[in-house]
Amino acid sequence: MGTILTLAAKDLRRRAAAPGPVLLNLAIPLAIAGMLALAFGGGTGGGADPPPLKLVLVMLDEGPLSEFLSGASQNSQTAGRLEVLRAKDRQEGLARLREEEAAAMALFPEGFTRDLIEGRQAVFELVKNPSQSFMPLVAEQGAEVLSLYLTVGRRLLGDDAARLQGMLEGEGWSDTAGLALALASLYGRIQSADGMLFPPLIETGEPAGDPGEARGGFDFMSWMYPGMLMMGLLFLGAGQMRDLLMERQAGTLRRQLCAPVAAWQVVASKVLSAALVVGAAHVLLMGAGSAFFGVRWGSALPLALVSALIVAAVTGFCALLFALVRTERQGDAVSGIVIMVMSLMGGTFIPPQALPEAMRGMAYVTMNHWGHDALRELASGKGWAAVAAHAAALAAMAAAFILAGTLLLRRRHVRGAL
Amino acid sequence: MAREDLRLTLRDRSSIFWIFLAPFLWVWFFGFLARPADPSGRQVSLTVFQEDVSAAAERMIELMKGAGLKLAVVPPAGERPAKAPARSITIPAGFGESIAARRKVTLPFSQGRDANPEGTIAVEVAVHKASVRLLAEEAFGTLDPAEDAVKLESSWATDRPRPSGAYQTIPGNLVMFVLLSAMTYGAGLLATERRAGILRRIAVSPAGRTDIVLGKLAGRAAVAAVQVSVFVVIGLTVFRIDWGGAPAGLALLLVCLILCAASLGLLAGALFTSGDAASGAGVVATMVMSAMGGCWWPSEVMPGWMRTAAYAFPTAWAMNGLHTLISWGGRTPEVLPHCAVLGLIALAATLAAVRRLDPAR
Repeated sequence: MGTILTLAAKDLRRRAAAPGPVLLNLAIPLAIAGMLALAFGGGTGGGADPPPLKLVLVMLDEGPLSEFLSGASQNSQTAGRLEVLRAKDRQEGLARLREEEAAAMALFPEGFTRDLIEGRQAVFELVKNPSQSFMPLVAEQGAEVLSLYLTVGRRLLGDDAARLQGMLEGEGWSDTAGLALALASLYGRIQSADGMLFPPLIETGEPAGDPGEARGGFDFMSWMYPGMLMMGLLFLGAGQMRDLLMERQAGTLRRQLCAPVAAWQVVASKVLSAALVVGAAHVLLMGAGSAFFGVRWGSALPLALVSALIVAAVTGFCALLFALVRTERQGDAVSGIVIMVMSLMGGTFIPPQALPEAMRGMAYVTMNHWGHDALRELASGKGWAAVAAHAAALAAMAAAFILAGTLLLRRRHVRGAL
Repeated sequence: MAREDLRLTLRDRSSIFWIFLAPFLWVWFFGFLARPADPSGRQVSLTVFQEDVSAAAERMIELMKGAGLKLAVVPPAGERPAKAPARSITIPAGFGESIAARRKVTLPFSQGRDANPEGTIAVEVAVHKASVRLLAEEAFGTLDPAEDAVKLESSWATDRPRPSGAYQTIPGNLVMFVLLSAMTYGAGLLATERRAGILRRIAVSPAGRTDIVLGKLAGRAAVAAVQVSVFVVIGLTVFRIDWGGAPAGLALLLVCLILCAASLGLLAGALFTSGDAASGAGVVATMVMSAMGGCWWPSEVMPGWMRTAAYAFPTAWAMNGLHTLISWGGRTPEVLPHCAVLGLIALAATLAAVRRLDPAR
């Protein structure tokens, strides 16, 4: 064992002399996670505010409603959520929609208020930006809600709408009896709606005792980052094992065959030093996840066990992979393909549940799935029970891969093929 | 020199995977499997746990159905699904009584990990609309949606394809993988050649410095051109992508993208002396530029400052140009500004690479 540790320590010193590739391998998952956090939130500063809805407003109507809508779009509640660009007509509106990358253009035609007051169906238009896919749908949903509120508001005014409009324009104030009747009727309707609609009596909220899955309880980065971490570790592990094939080219390992160390000790020391680098990278990536993306990794003991198993499984897998390829080029090609396919199928980017049913089962044969899912469970506050199956699967994979990888590498080494 | 570079790249199995196979695996996975072609055309599912049997609860369910949701209703004594649904809402016991007594009532709403945000917004809006309509009916009597006082007419500014499904992933991956190949394999190969002293040896040949740099640039452009051609052809034949009505504009934009990617690959290769370092830095730079430029997701979901900052990178100009042609049906003159910016970036990167690439050093 002492020989293996000495060899591994020397190998680590050699690797530490050129840390560039390791640092670059660490930078890739961090860069991807950083972009995700900037775009969708989840950093230490909390979730990012959703981008404001950029809307072009073309108000051809000159009734009081247009003033109300224009004012409402600029009040403090909508500020920061809605960015309204004004245009004088449809043509200018369409030009602004395209040039300023707004989500949609809302056009209120001439006579909109009049139609509404006089009991005809009032129609307004929403023209969506075809070069966007998400925000135009948000604008449409908002416009549908506005349309419903205007309908409810019209119902509230009842038959007194025309009289009230006249009053707003300075007419009808001399008819005190009619005025009193209209106000009494309006008061009655407001009384019926009060406590029902202002604000609405029904609201949605988080279910009790379900913080992980509840609305708003889902932490995007705590879900996404473990996947990035696993993928990054696999690429890093492959890079470390690639070192064996570089040594094969330089003939340094062959020369060790005439040294007073057994072949298995050389191979074991190489696997051990690679595991130590992967382990250090795992700790660094977890630290970066906490520091930059606010990921809480959960209970220490299950986390330590899962982490150790992940490191062992990743190292064993990469050892086996590089025991099966002949050249560095083959190693690069095969490891890139295998790791990328495992990451896609294993749920690094998209949960397996979102895949077609026929493909979901494939996630369970990937190491990525067991690794990042265990970290995700722990990050969501769960403990031993939630990760027991993951730990068993990772342990089985680690044992099988390390054994097979080490034996195959030793055989190649003894034959002088390493 | 360009032909030789192309030959060397195509001989490498790893580069074949990353240049020609990985992009389509990516496109297939994200564009074909994970998203339908038109998210606005699908019905969003919602499971309703009905714990109240009042008329108000029944009406609420009816109104949610009318709002376009695909409902799975679990009645009060019904068996709950073994697996938690993607989205669920509970109509609690005493819902009807609370409405009649004008007491506030909360409908617990849950969403699972696999619930996509577009669907969740649609569900929240639909539930809100159903509850407002229910309350308005309680206050004023029946409120038939067909007789609403206000009607919304919604349409798209053009009838062109929107950037979702393959229309987001094909342009996005085209831009990303062309840059990725140039900035990893292109840059790595050049850095390795410099380290091995191959450029110094070429310098003693009759080829001048300009010939060498242009040859290397053309080599990277040749690989990018092959990659872009494969993307366009597969887009047309497999994914049936409508690339817009301005083939000249599309060709010009893609040529500018190719030159820009090739020159950035050349610059990255000139900046690093180790192939691994050049490739690694190329991956990181490409990931950042692609994410900010709207290759990974629709750029409108990013904060405003990121959208503005993205225009410092070629990815944003290329993606905006492609959306202009594909989704707005733009003509060639409309992508000339995009081409000009990409061309300027290419020129600046080439000049910087020329300064660094002195074959005598």
